[in-house]
This record gives sequence, C-alpha cells and structure tokens, in this order.
Amino acid sequence: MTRMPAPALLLRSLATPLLVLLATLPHVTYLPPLIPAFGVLTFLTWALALGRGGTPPHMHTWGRLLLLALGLGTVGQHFGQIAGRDPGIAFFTFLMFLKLWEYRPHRDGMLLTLLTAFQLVTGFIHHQDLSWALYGLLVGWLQLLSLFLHARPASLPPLSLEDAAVSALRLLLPALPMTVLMFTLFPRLSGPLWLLPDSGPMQARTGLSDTLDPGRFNHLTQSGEVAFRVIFDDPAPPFQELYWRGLVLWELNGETWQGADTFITAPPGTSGEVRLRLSGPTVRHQITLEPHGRSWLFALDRPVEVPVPARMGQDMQLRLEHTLLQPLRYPPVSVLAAQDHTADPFLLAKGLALPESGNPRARALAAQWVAASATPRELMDTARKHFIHGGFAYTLDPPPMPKDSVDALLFTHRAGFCSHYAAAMTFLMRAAGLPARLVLGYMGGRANGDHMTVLQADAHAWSEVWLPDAGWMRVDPTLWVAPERVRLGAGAVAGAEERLTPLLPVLPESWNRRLWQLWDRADQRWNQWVVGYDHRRQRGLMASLGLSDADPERFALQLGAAMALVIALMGALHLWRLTRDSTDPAQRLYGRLCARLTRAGLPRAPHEGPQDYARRASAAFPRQAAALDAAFELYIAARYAANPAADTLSRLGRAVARLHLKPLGDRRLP
Amino acid sequence: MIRPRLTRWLQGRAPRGPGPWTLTHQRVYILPTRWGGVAVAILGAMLVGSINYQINPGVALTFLLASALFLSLLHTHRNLTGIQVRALPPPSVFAGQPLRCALALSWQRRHPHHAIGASWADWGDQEAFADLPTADPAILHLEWPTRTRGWVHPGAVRVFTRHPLGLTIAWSWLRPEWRVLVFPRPDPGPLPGMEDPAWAGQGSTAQREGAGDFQGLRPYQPGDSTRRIHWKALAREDRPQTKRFHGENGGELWLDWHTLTALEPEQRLERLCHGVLWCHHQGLRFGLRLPGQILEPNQGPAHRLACLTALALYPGGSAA
Repeated sequence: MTRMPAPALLLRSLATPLLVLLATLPHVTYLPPLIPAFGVLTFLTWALALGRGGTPPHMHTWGRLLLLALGLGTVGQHFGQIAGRDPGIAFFTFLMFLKLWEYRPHRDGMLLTLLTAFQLVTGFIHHQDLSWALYGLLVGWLQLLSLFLHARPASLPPLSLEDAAVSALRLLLPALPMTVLMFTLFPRLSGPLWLLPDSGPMQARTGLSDTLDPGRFNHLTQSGEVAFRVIFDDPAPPFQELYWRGLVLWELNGETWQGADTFITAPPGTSGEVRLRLSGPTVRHQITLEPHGRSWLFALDRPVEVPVPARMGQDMQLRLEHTLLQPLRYPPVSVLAAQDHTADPFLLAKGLALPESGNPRARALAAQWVAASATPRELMDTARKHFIHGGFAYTLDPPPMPKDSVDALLFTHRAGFCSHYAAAMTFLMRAAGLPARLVLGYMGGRANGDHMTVLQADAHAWSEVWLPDAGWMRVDPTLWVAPERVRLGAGAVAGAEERLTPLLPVLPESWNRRLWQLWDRADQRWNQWVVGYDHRRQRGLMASLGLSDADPERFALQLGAAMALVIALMGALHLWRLTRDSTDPAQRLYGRLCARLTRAGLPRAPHEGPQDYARRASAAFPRQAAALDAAFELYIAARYAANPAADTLSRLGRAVARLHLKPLGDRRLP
Repeated sequence: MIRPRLTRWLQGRAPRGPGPWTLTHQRVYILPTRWGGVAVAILGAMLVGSINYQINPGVALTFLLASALFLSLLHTHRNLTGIQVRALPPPSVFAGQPLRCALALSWQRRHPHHAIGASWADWGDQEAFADLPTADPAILHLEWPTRTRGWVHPGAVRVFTRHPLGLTIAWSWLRPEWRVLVFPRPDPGPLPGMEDPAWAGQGSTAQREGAGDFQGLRPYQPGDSTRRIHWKALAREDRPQTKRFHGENGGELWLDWHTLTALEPEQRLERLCHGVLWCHHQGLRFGLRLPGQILEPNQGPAHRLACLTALALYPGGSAA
C-alpha cells in the first residue's frame, strides 16, 4: 500500500533536485540543451517516484556509466572541447543531475546542496545584474533551508517546511550586514590571479551584432534590456546630440555589411594616426556597459580620449582586447564638435568599395545626383531633400527585402528603420564617389536620477561621409525621414517606452514607467556599488575612512585586521548573549530594583531576604510603599511561585522602571 | 599522536559524578564537522574564482553563505550551552544484556534547544537525539554492552549538537561514573535439589501457577504474594486462598553451589542465578549457599537482590 504524501512533505523531499535545477537556471543560455532537459527529466522522475510514496530513483551502475559517456559526448560536441570554463561548468552540472540517480539521503543531500552554492556563483560569470543577484539571494536562502532539512537527525521527527524556511531566514537576515562588511573589507586585487583564457566563442546577447543585413533583418529589437548607463561629469549634451558611437562597418558583401574583421589599424607605411580637429567643450562621462559577449565599447561621439582598457581604431572604433563578460565601467572623454580628418588613402579607398553588381536603380540615382551637383556638399543636400520629400516612412516592421535591398527601400517599399536608411545612404554616397562608412551604436537615453540609461531599444545606425573640408561627417538619414525619432525619446515619454514590455502588465502604464525607473535606479546603484567595486574604489572608500593605501601589503593587512575585528565582535556579542541567557531575568530585574534602592540610600543587607527588605523599603519610602510592595511581590512571584503568570516578568520590569525614589539624604526630616 | 592525547586531557577535565551539570560555555567545545570542512573548501573555491574573474556578486554570495555558516556556528554553540544534564542510574541487568544508561536533559531559561544528541565518548557510534522544545526534561538512552558479571563502569559520555546546518558540532564531555552491577547470565539448566518437572528447560518468566510442588491451599495472610492467590478458589469462597508449595512449610529450599559439581564455577553461578530468579518468581522461600557465604532462606525482592549481588560479586568475575 503506498500513500500519497502531503504536498508540503513532497516538496521537502524534493528540495535537493529542485535546488540543483534552480542553480542551473543561470547557465541555461549556453548549456547544451540536452543537459537542462536531463535535469528536468530527473526532477520529474523524482517527483513521480516520491509522489507515489516511493524512494528516489536509482539507476544501475552501467546505466550511469553510459549516461556519463553520453554527457561527456554532448558537452564535447556542443563546445568543441571538454576542457575550459564553460564546458567544465556544463559537465559539472550534468554530474550533479547524474548524482541524483544514486542518491543516499543524508550524505548526498548535504553534498549536492553545498555544491549548488558553487554552481550558483559560476552563474554570475554570465549575469551580474540586480535581478540575478536577487535570484542568487533567494536560492541561497533555499540552500540554507535544504541544509536545515538534511542536517536533522533521522531519528527525530522531520522539520516542517515552514519551520525550516523561517529558521533559514533567521540565519540569513543577520548574515546580511556581516556580508556587507566582509564584502567591503575583503582586499581586492588589481588584476586576476591567473590568466583567463577566452572560453571559445560566446553567444552574442541581444542588441547590436557586427553584421548588418537590412533586407533580411527586418524586425528591430524592442528589448527593454539595458545596454549601458551613463553618468555625465560635465553638463549633459542635448538629447539630439546623444549619438553613442559603437562599431564601424566598412565592408559590404552582397547585401550584408560586415565589420567583424575590419578593425582598422594602420597598415605598414601609413601614419596610423587619428587626426582630429577639436573645438567646443569636452564632455567627460562614465559608462557602465552591460556585458554583451563582444569586444566593442561605446562612447559619446566623438571620443577623443581612449579609456584605459581599450584601444581605438583609425575609424574611431573602441575595442577591448577580450570579450566583455562582466559589466565594465570606463570614463571616455568626448568632444561633440570634433572633426575627424583621418584620411589615409587606404581608408578613403575602403570607403568607396562597392560590390560589382546589385542595386542598379540606386546606382543610377547616385549617378544622376553626381551629374546635377557641383560640389560634394551640394550632392549631400540633394540626398537630404530626396529622403525628406521622397515619401519615406519610418516603421519598425518593414517588409523583408532579401534582394537589392537598397533599391527595394528607395523605390518599392519606401519604409524601414534606421538600419535600412543608414545602409541605403552609405551605399548611395559610395556610388556617388564619396567615401562613406556605416556606424552602429545607440541614440538617446533616459535620464533617471543622476544617470542616464540607454536601452537595447535605443540601438541606432547612421552614416559617416568624408568631405574634404569637414572630414568624416555624421549623416543620419533616419532623422530626415522621421525627425520625431528625436522627439520621441526626448522627454522620456510615450513612444519609446510604450514599445517596451511592461514589467507588470496588470498595472497602469504610468505605474509601470515609474516601476521601471525605480528598478533601473536600483540596478544602477547595484552596478555602481557592488558590481563595479574594484581595488580602486576600495582604496578610495578606505581612504575616506582614514585607512592609508600607500603600501598595498600593509593596506591588505589592515583590511584583514578589520575583518578579524568584525568576527571578534560577533563572538563577543555571542558570549554576552550566553551570559545573559544564564542569568535569571527575574534576578536581573531584582538586581536593578536593589540598585535603585541603594542609590536612594537604602542598600540591601547581605543576609536580607526580599520580604524583609520590602518591609524596610516601604517603611523608608512611605509614599512609594504601594509601588515598592507591588514590585517586591512580583519578584517573589516570578522567582519562587510554582506557576507564575506569563506576564509576571514584564510587569516586574515595568514596576521597577516606574519607581521614582527620592534619595533619603535629601529629605528634611520632619 | 597529538589528538588522542589532547582528547584524553580534555576528557579528563570533564566533570564527574551523576550531576546535574549545566553545560556552560567553558566546557562546550565546537568545531566544524566533515561537512563543515567540505563547505569551507567550496566557499574557498567560490571566493578564489569570484576574485579571479572579478565577479563581485559572486564575492557577495560567498560572503553571505560564509557569514551564515559563521552564525550557524554560534547557533550551534548556543544550542548546547545552558543545557542541564543529569545522569540517571541505569538498572542492573544480566550479563549479555545492554545497560540502558539514561541522561535527563532540561533547560530553564530563554530559548528552546533542538536536536541534542548523546553518544559514548570513545566507544561505538550510537547516537540518541531529542528536542527540548519546552522546559520539560527529555531522556536520552545510550546502551552499553555487557558480557560478564560484576561491576561495570560505562565510559564517558559526549553530549553534542549539530543543529542547525550540520556543518558545525558543539559538544561537551561528561563522566557520569555510572557503576552498575551486572548479574550472571541466568542459565536454565537442571539444578540438583529442585526435582521439579516444571523446572528443567523453563525460562525464568515462563512459570505460572500450577508449577512446582503444589501442596494445597491455606487462608491468605498479609504478606503473601498476589501471584500466589488462588483466584479460581476466590470465586468459590468468600476469602482468598493462598497456594502453598514445597519449601515453605519448614522444608527449606536451598540453592547450593556445592551440588553443581559437574560444572565450571561460572556455569554454576549462572545456574544458581536462574534458580534465584525462578524461586523468587514463584514466591518461594529459599536460601543460597556459596563457598564462604551463606544467605539464609528468605523471600522477597530484597532477598532476591542480595542473592543476585552475591552471585555477581563472587570472586573470579570481571573487574571489581
């Protein structure tokens, strides 16, 4: 006869597989899909077996060995290797699920629970934003809960789920302030302990990609995900000047613009310099870039000072040496009105390259413009008028234009978004004999408190055209077609945000916007104070607290000492509580009563019991006699009565606190 | 090795006697368990990895769990501290039966204690657990095996707890100095002088009325065993009747060492032990004759105890 266990009981025995599953969630995006599927299968088998009142599933050794080989194969096939960080995590995950098929209750419950902590931390390699941090906190709580359940001796009645949850919370909440102290004090290094190998190609996140195929890619990302956040050290430029320069695409292969391999560094024999003419104010700002799994960086157009970890190409494209897997904070300096006169011949030649064929009507249009214009400026003006008056529409959902996409946009559909128009403009300019390149980045941003947030939905594309007198000049055809693109974002109102998925669809839209703002601010703080807390910030913070940072070893030592102090203080607090535990509360309150009487000039004689002392006290303080008698009686009840009333102690406390005794010596004797 | 010596020294400091003792923090020791060691190793790996990859949320989570572990250590310590332990004298047993040693745990102030365990300090892996949700005492039983008769001194006791997470263990050693007399193992073999058909091969508890040399009934007198009342006769007559057997009307029943000539001394003691139990159970009057020691015929629990003690302490047993 099997018995269906109660849901709470079932959930309790499923704590371990559930925990392993939850700790795997942050990894799901890059794991071979078979592994999470195996995990879900394992969990369901457990639930089914335990739901019928049985024991956890058990697999024969041969079966497990076979699965082990299969898992290894899956990992190797997915990543192309089995060594390295990500394959390692994938295999580790697989092993944890496999362990659930040969489960010994106490032992493996403890082991797997402890291992999920490691699993959870590796998840932060890929996600570090606030939502995942809160998720980590939740799973950490469940880990403690699971330890509570497993540590309970089998001979005692098992803990209820609620008891375990509350007990785990009682452990977790007091740990929070200690965590903050430890986190702040633990000495940070200026670099990694060992070299980090790039673990092979990483899947790109949402947002920009390094190729652009306007014809095929016909749905603009409407992701509300944060691309980066900016804090302006100088006054923020007006909204329509907020062009966040990212990557520069030079090569058009058929219909696709590419930039991956074309990071422009000076070839031998050229100067390799970026020649800028600076005028106007500099704008210093700090960008906290969310990890995008690529190497490019963004900065306000045009960046004139390269932030430390990056290098700049001759086309003013910023790149890191490695792919970005963690949020990065860097301080670019930009000059909005800087003119880029970098005109090495090879650059100009690159800026004119076009495929042999394709888009004949666009080429014809360009030739027509060339014939009608005397100067490059005139030609550009013609182009501008064409885009403004050509009946073009801005849409986020244009029809696909797989072949001759520029022709299709200009002559057939006349509808598209920024990528379409920028690609068309660049094509037209090259066809007309003006060097041009395609720039991808972001446009605009949402002011939110002290910072500005730029979302993936703000992704933008524009052209840069080389004019002999002005250098590489920014040309944004989207603004000609849809000038409201600027106004849309300007007030951080309607338009732009309506396209975002609401956080809580039940709430009215204005609440959602407010909620989004609050969340964004919290995430920004998180990024600023936690994710971005490195050795420099630590030194800054400690210097403001008066800890010198001159000698790194000494500094680390001081931090270590501070951590030890925190631990010692906790220990002292603990001992104090123990001594408090060991004294009778009634006795303690009585001690306070005696101390009051002593201060008032009537100390207790060493041999005196409470009753005698009470008589003497009421005689000495006749006005307080009633209150004194009551206090003494309560003490006697609390200390000696067989079954004192539950509130005796609290009443005694109040009675003692309320006593006001005039010192005997002050009174004039009658 | 250092460890056993340290352990011995610390155990030597443990309080002796039946208690009650309060486990104060001076005598509560605390260390990580094996799982605690595993947890520390994993946390170390988490910290090094997080520092190396510069993953601050990972550092934060590591410190969160480490702080919780540290606090759990304090909880473990506090869970054991303040408990009062009293060692209850275990009842005597016959050789081969385990001694059931009992510890009464209680607390008086402040907070309940959970999952308190007891084990022998240096023998076996028995663990007994109890919760102390209220101030009412809880009893923990530990079994100490016996093989031979004589005095037995169960070893030191460890009162411990791994509550709450199982990663830390707090313990305290106690030496209750239990001293228990173990009686010889009763051997139901033939006993000369007890020519009773019901005797041979019978266990000491199998005897009921009708056994033995039944002699008749006599009116009940105060002091007669209730087992000997003839209940069926009571239904017929208005006053209770007591059954009478051989050995109580002048004819004395002796359990005599010297009659068991064919047996080894220990076997004789075991045979005699069974005789004592049987006679007592039957409510008989009997005497015990050992070399150099004679217990005059008598009956009742005190007599039984005196006889069993004499048998247990007969020279040649295990430790004194």
